[in-house]
Amino acid sequence: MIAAVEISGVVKKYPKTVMPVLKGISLEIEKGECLGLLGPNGAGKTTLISIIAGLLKPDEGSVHIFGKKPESMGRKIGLVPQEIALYPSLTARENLNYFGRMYGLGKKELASGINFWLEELGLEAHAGKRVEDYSGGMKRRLNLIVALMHSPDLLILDEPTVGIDIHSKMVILEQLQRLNKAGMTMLYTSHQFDEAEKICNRIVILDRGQVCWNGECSYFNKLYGKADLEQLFVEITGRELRD
Amino acid sequence: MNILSAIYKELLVLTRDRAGLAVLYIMPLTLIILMALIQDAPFRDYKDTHIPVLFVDQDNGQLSALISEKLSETGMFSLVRADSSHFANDKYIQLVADGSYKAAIVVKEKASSQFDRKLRIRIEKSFNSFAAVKSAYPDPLPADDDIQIVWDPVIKKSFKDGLTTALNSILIGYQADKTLAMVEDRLRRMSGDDKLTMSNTPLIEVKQRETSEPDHALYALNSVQHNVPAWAIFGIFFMVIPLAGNIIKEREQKTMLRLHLIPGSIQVVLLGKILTYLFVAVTQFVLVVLAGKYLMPLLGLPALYTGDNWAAISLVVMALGLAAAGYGVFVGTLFNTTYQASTFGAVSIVILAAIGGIWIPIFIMPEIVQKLSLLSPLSWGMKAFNTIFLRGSGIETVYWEILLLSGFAIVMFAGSFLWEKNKN
Repeated sequence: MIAAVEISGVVKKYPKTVMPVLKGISLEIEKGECLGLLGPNGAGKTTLISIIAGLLKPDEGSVHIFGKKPESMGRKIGLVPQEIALYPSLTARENLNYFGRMYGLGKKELASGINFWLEELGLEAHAGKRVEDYSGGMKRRLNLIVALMHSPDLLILDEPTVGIDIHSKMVILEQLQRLNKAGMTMLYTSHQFDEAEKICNRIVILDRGQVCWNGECSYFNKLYGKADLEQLFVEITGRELRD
Repeated sequence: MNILSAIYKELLVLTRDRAGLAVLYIMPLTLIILMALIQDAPFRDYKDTHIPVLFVDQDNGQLSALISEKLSETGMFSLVRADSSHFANDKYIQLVADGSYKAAIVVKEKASSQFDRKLRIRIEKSFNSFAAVKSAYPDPLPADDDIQIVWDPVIKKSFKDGLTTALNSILIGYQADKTLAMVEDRLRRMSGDDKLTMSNTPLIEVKQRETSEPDHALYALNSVQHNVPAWAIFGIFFMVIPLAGNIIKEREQKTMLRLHLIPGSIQVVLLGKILTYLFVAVTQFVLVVLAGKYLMPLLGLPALYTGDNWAAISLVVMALGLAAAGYGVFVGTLFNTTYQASTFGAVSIVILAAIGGIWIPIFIMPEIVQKLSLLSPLSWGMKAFNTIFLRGSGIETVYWEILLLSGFAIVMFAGSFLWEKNKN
């Protein structure tokens, strides 16, 4: 069976860095799996995500998304960037219409999709409001909807709940759990270990461009006998600051 | 459909950015009005400006009357007749020195009679060789300085030359007419034929013609005719700042990142931006042309004359819009922050405008700047508009400027593509 994501020996070095950011990463994500990608700042998480999404090319190694090169799989991938990647002066509906059109969605499909997702994430009453007038939590929810509009097979989330209120976080996590149960493959990066434990089947810890740990969440606790992932994370990656 | 969505989105973003709209529409409109008003006087030549000249007539004779009449007829000077109080203690010199008048023409006392006397002597002397009894005449006859011009030192050379030439021309004509009349009189007396006449009608004259249609020749380069197209071009190129800012903002907001995921969408997004800003360029141009035609006369300025070669005008505007959009995309790709892009964009456009003949026409610039101006896309646009508006030419004459502007756009787009590719 073809894996949803197959990463093999990926090396990436930026022109201004001495050491490679990624040092031969190999990883697989099964179809329907939710993989939590954790790591301290500068571990190489965003670079790896960018390579998986086809936004960067690896110097060495290969990446396959459902058996194909990532560059040709753009429409199968949904990306939720860490930043609020929306047009602030446009309303929520205008943003969704625009991105939906760019994904090639038809008029009817787009209209029903917009209404569905706005309702699911509790934004239907604010659809005509400009994004610049939204609260942080509302922006995060809309940021997620844009990535879901075209029903992707693989959803990549880069810290999708950073800095938001508890209610918005709850709505987002519930939606992600529901989508994962429905069969959507997810790659989830976060610094919130409780979130990762809650929605991910498996955890990969990345540090200094290498995979330090790869295993199921429950297995972590059994193996190390730690109370939570946060303690384990510090034990694996060390106490050194990564500024 | 995607391209329409991209254009629609750009228009929404643009119309909701009031500062950006002001830069795109109000700035060029303000500039053409201000610059046309400020440069109105410098653009008019002495013929139009009627610089006041004090006429100090101490002669009150035929010569001074002719000078006054002929100078007034030219319409180039506004002669103000000095009264006798100005004669005392050379007060007219003070009036010029303190800037009340730019020049004073002084015709000294008895200038007419002195001239007549000397001319008569010269003619009588010439006829003396035919006479049976020779008379003695003084030789040579010196030229008098009975006519003087007193200049204000700050006067333009062109004005000085104009007044001197006009005055010399009057004096030469006067001397020729007088000489002929006296010779005629002398010959009548010699021949005893009272009806003897000598014609003084010109046997050769200068015929003047313009290289373009008579209609176009009526509209010489004036402040409006220079400033409206000039600042319209400047306004079109100023789109570089909002366009580059728009591209950088999308990169910073990561909306561009999302679009990078969708195969082919970046091209659609960029095309959407280019077409939107092309529309902005066209509407900007229409707005300033309307202001030139209908608003300028209300401000006491001449109306803009565009001719009727609308096909050529449209092509030049489109080519200018494309060139500006290309430059905007290039600046937006090259720089990482809106601050860098807006600083570089503004400074580079001001430099290109200065050497491109936007502030002052290229033909009055030093030769080295004239050569440099060939490198400015703004000068290509300016040359094309002058050719269409003032010379009444069409596409067949401005095709080279259209090609240059389009070529510049292609180079900028290609440069942006290569830079982006290299950066990734």
